[in-house]
Amino acid sequence: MNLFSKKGSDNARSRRLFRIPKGYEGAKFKAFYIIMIPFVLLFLAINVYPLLWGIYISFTNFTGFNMDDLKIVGLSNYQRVFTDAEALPSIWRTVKIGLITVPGSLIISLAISMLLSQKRPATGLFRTLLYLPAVLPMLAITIMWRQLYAYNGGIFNVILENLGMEKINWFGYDYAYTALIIMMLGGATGGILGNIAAIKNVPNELYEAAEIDGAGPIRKMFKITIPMISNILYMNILMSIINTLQLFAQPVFLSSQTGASGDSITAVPIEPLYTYLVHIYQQIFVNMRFGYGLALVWIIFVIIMIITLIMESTKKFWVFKED
Amino acid sequence: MKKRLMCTIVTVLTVAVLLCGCKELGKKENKVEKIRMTYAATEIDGVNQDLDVIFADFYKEHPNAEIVLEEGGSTMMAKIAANDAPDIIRVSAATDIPTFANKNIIMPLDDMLAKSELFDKDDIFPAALDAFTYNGKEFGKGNIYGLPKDWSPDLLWVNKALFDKAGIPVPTLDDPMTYSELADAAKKMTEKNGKDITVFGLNDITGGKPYRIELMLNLMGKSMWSEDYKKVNLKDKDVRAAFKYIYDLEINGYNPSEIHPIDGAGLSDFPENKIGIFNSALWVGGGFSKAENRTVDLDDMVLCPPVVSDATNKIVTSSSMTGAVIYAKTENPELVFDCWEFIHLGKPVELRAGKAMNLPVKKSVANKISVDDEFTMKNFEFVTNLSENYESINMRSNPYITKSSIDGIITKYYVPMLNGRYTFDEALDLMESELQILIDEGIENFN
Repeated sequence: MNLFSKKGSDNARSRRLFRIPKGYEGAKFKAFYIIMIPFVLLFLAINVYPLLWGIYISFTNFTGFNMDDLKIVGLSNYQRVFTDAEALPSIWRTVKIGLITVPGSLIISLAISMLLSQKRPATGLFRTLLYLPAVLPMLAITIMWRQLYAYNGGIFNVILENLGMEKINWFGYDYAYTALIIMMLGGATGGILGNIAAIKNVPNELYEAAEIDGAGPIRKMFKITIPMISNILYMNILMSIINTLQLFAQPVFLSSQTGASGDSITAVPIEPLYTYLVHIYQQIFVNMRFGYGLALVWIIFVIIMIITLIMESTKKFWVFKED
Repeated sequence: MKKRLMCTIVTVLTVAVLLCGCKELGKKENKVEKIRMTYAATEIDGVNQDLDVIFADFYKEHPNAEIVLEEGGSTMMAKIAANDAPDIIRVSAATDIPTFANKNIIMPLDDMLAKSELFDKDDIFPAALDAFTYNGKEFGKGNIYGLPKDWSPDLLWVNKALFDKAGIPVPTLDDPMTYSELADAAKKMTEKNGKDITVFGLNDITGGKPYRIELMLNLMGKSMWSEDYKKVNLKDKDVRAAFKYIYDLEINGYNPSEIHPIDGAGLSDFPENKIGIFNSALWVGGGFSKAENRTVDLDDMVLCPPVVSDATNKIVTSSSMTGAVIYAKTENPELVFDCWEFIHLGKPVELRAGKAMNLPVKKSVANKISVDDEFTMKNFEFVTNLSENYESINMRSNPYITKSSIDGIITKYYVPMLNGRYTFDEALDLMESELQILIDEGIENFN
């Protein structure tokens, strides 16, 4: 029975929409909603309620201590985003990082996936090793990279010294940005498993037909492999953009103890590492400007939604659909 | 029919599991309900890790108590904002107490201390007590909010061999080192190899830049804050001179900085002859003497009085003390106080002081400490004498703005200034304007 049947008048249709079927269908209907209700309630309580609370707080002067004396300040927190000397520059800084890391990660991830999807000795071992950065905690990864970047004894500076070059202060103003980019590209293997699965699902017949037509490996890659896995590439690109716009852990952990105001998550990273989420964190947890910080959060949410919608609208031009 | 029955059974079981969660079903009889208290710290007595061992005596008197340690640190303000603060909060007195006390986040302990058998005001080092006594504007007056877990005044560890090589006399109680002499000494002892600093003349790890600058000013009767703390004045010539002092040490590589980094806090470099003067506290001496790659003779690691103001040439001790206070909204204030009292005035005090790495809160405990290690004992006695016989000062701390905000704003412009992105005047003007905005917001929210 189709609950959403278009037959009959509107009244009759609405009666059909809310009518609980009888018998076995009815039991399934009831069971579905009984099972779903706890999850829906949990979702509302854990996800939706904090979001709504956050919206409310973004219109107030909440500082963490004045809940009893909260005042609605209208749009002033949102207006402040455009007058704050750091907010817009930090967005632009984050976007600049993304302009390098998103395509860079995609290319690296795709190249590695192509290599590892071939049947060669030890590909399983390499697959495991290369996927490890995706499963390790970000803090552990950043601490390892800090050791690599250490001014005295860090592997990069040891190599530079052995090549007769001067050591680099990787956490200094001049190279911090480069250090961050290298670190992010070094961990660009998170999408390889999905890519490999998608590559393996490309029908062999297509490659055989292409070979018959005289296509070489490069042509096959661009004309067959990439279009056929474009769905997964789309997901990777979208997630990569979202993760970059939410970049926080790497700049903070990379810069703490190395010249910011102490060895602490509230330490201020230097300007090249001062991303938008770092700015939000500083406003909320250092300057105790909860209202303003939440306004900043909602701004980035809107930006991410706009980018997602734009990406969705471009999908029809380049993402392969089976039907 | 069967399918319907299975469907119903699965539904009921799922809902039952979700509603019950992991809670135990049924009543357990004869179980004493424990009152859980949280303490934001990662250790208590510096000896034992097992809380049951540490609190064995306390649990005998309070069988219904259960103490749990939890992380504090940089998430503390967020926990307080969420009304989820630990019962006993570990704080850095100079910087946290003004903020917490003025916002009524912590509870004054005077009434409970008056009834305490373990608290004898005359037996507490005055500097330790003053650091946790606050009247809303000044330390040393008003209510007692807590006590340090242990403490040490800031002191200079000097490498006598490097001092002798540079022809600099080692500071003594009769002839302490002034700030100008410190800068000169740092300059003379610094050695460079191209752009690399192979020996830093000075490594100052006390409290962070804003703390050091404000302390330097306070020692000469000045401050970067106005009398009522409502204004910051970085245009004052003495304030600028204090900033310039720190800046000159760092830009020239005499003191480590973001442009001349040192690994870690330099704790392994001092014993390896890579630092001439290490400005810190008593406790670092333990690490120095036991350092694996130590090349400095123990006799050349000399503990000296703190640096003094050029204006007064008088030894005045100071310390960024770490201790604990009680959250004002704790559910069981008396029990939490008993726990706090046990930790800060009871048996753990003696255990913490047992290795002579830091001074205990009580003078009577300090005078009983004896360790076999001559180096450690000699330095411990020196610091005990200093603390008993010399005046102490508490840094002026602005109640309208948090320490992390001050650190953040000053660092935000100081580091680019070091890197040549701002001139000295530009950076200070930017710092001043941002600090003033936060102070104004703090005043508005305070009222």
